Amino acid sequence: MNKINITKTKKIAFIGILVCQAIVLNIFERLIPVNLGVPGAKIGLANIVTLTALYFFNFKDILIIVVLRTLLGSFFAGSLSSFMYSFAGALFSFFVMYFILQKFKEEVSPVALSVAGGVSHNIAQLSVASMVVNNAGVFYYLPFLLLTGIATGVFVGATSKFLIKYLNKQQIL
Amino acid sequence: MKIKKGDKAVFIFVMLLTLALLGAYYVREYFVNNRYGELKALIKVDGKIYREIYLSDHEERFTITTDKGYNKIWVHDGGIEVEEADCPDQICVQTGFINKPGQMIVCLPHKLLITIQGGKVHDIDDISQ
Repeated sequence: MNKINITKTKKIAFIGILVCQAIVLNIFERLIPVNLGVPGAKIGLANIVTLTALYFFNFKDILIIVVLRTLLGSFFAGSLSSFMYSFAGALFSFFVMYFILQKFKEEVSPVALSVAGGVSHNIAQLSVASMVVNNAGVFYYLPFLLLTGIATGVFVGATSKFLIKYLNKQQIL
Repeated sequence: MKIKKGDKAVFIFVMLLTLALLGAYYVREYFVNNRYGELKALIKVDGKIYREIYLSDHEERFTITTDKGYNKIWVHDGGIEVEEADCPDQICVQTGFINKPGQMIVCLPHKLLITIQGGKVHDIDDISQ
């Protein structure tokens, strides 16, 4: 973890870029019809942004990024009802990933973080869904959602790993 | 790729969670499928029961309209599906045809929930258990 002290302007600019990337990834993901076999399952490409932010910013800044990206993401590529689920999922998965990173520091890789994030995203999403339809039965799908969550988590984590490595090497920040 | 200590902890936890849930799912599925005879579909809108339909030898098409939109339902071949809906995510349509107890179709934007439940328990199953 190398949370560097950067100027305020640079930080704001970088947060803006990350949020933009998340929105583009959201739109891009809607364009490719990936059927993972489970209703409601997604790749969760925008999680790349949260993961990357975890390695460069502090809690407050990442929270801003997460809130902004889900808010704007569902504004551009979703609906009001999808906002609730993605917001709950993104927020909870961020807390889980942040906690794990704080606890294990160097002893955890982005891939494991991403898997934990994906799985917690699914759990939070289904919790909100079960509240909306007023039925705990939607958890019926949880085991299969978790399986897809692990698979997409590995993919997203591996992608983020490259991005984090690149950003470190280029010393953009 | 080097596997670190934290990675191991995360993977073990996630694996155990998934396996436990998968196990619970199949155990439940096994008992449910072996116990129940006639299946019925329970349709709920906004948490309230809208309709109950016994699925065997039943064919029907109807539309559920709420202030949020419509869902066209098709009951056929011992199961049920949502043929068409005007919800933004179309998850209910993509779920497709369901015919096993415990399966469900959810349309979150319209707060619609269709679950399949076991109906009457056959006597012979009670004895053979």
